[in-house]
Amino acid sequence: MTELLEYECPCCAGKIRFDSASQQMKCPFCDETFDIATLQDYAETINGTAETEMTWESTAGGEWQAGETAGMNVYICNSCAGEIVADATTGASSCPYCDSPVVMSRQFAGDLRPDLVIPFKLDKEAAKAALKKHLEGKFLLPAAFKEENHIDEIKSVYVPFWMFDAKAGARIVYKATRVRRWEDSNYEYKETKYYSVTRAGSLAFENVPVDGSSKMPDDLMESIEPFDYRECREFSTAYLSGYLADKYDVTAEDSVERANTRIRQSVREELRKTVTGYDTVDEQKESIRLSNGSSKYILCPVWILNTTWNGEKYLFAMNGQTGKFVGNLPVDMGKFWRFFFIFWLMFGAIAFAVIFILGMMGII
Amino acid sequence: MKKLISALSAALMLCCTSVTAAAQGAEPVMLSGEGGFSPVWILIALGIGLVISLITMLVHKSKLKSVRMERSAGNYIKQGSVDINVRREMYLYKKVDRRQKPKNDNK
Repeated sequence: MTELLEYECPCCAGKIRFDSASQQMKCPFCDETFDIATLQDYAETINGTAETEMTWESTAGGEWQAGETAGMNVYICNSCAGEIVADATTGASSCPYCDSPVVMSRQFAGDLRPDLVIPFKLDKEAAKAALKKHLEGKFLLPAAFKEENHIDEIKSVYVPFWMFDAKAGARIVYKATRVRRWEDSNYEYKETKYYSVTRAGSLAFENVPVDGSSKMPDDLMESIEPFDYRECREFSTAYLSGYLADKYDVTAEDSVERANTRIRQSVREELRKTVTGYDTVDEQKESIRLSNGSSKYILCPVWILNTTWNGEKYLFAMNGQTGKFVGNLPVDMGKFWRFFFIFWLMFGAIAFAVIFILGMMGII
Repeated sequence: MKKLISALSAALMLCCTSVTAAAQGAEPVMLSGEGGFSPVWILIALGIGLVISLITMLVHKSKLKSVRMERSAGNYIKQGSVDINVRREMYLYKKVDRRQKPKNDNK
């Protein structure tokens, strides 16, 4: 069985978890707080390595069929010996029987160890408040959604990300035009001058994030950017205690294409900004090369909220560090069309009044 | 929203009242011809109203959608790292088009 890590309070032996408000480890039973490094030293001294013993007194039920256990891991809780079933990528969870926070240390061992972690700064109440604020001021949101909406699930998850650093060298050639118009008594003239414009240079990128979990929708994870990487910490399993966490199942090699797409677009935009003074500018040829590329594996804090309304599932996410909240909401199409026709008639009447007055005055 | 609708309704009524009052004291106008009322105005006004109404409602609808893929990595450009060292502009050729002005025959 895979090894589980639990951190015990030196005062009362309760199961201790990471507190986002104080950024330290806090015991929920005696309220004592401890520095992470201190607690790790204490855990190493006191706990050592526990031997796992699996003795079944009786066999019950059937056997797993071939393929049923693929992608699943089974753990035994150190506190209550309850069985914890989790998928192959789960790195931290809680025991469903005694609610003790558990960290599956092997998921983050060796090559799988994250380089950095951004600790949670916002708690569950902040997530609920952010959802409430997200629903306010939305004219076309069905009223029933706000009234009947109940959160099905709210969970704090450390999502695995790949962060890419690179230097981009680029050379782009544009075809641009300048247009001049004039007229005489008989003709109207339009002169178009054509230019070849070249821009070349370099720019550096750091920490371009790409979601390393296939379970998390990529558009949802990109919508809660950016994270403040100045608050990154060296990885420690202690930060995961009390939260859910997944290890990556999308490799850096598979993620690099997405990073390339975003970097390429940024390079185009930066060079295009420098081409000014033309009426039209079209890109003719581009050459973008990356160098000094590197990647880091980092766990980022995300609050995930699920809700169901009218048979449809709605997924919301909040950046667990900055509080940025996103999530698509339903549209009341009846209200949309109702107000469309009302505004059409109103603006049409105002436009007619203005045109009529101008017409009567002989201006048009 | 209710206040906005009330204000717009009041403006509409004021316009209608002004037009009616002006028409009561005015000479009859031709439906077409110079300086007169043209039915095209109604179509233009409906077109303007349609466009403004559509834009307004689409703006409100877009506020309900906040999940989208990022197009670029602009937030991750290292400060001070942008270095454009080649800026070249080369004139190629020019083209001149001319169009004869419509002639007004004054008879």
